[in-house]
Amino acid sequence: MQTQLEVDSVMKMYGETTILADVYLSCFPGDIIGLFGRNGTGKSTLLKIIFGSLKGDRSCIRINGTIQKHGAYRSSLLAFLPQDGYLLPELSLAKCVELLLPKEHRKDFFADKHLFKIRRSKVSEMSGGEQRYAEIKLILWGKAPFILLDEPFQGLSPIVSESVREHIKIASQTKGIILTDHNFREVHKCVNRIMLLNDCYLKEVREPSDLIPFGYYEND
Amino acid sequence: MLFLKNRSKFHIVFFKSRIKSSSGIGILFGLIAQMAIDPEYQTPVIQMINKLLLFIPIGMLFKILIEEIDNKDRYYFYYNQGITKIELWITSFIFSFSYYFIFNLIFTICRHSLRLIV
Repeated sequence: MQTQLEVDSVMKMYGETTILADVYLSCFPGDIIGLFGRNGTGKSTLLKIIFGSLKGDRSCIRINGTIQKHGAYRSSLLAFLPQDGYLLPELSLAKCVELLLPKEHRKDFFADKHLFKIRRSKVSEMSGGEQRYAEIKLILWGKAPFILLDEPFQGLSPIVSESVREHIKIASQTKGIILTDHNFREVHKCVNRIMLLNDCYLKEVREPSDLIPFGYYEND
Repeated sequence: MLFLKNRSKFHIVFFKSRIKSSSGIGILFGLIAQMAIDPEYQTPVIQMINKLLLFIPIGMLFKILIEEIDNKDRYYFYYNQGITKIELWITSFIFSFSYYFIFNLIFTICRHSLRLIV
């Protein structure tokens, strides 16, 4: 059985407004898919529907050929980085790592200039950037073969963003990654597939220049 | 077995992070109920504490309800481990009832011991 995440026939309406219509997407290990679209086009909604924390009006999510009827996250084959973070503020970073990573990876995880100093800090005491970086790294180092990242570069300094791009590239050797971020220049530096959500539909974009009619790189 | 051990760690974390505040809420509800039932404070203290402990699971219910209204997105830490919020709620109620039964047992033993001593 081939490792594959397949998202089919996703439809979502808020009241009378259609946000997503007949969305199809497939993701394989090695893929780093950048999801582009203006504010309110439904990028985060789509990621939540794929993950299973939000119900679509219609959706079919298949992982490795198996249809995920009750939320794909229950299979543990999918991990999601939400926009507002997910670590528990009352726990220390070391405790989070102890819970989320196997013993043999913990030492390597903290062999990182951005994380070593704050390993004993509580999540609530960490800065927004530190928290974001720790969350991304924990997700990417986890077991799930498919990863959804919603605004991963939000609040990160250029140096830390570079480290994040590096981690994404390493993780993509064995995992399929779908990410969305308004900082499309950062996203472009690390993705190998681009998808655009426009007028409720999702389409694959072959060249970054194809995004110009949609308002990207207008001022370059 | 390892799968269950890994998941139970997360259930315990969920319970531990809520037990203090839910006990507070529960005891507050208990005191109000006690004041309504017995406004002249004639119930013996040990019996009253015993009754108050029964309100801990009720406090847990309120705590979860408040969280559900206030911020529904605080479960992603658990979702990423394949754990649903229904599972977390069920185990929390089981844990808080166990909490109540253990304390109830301790109080009963203490009460009987005191009677024997007296």
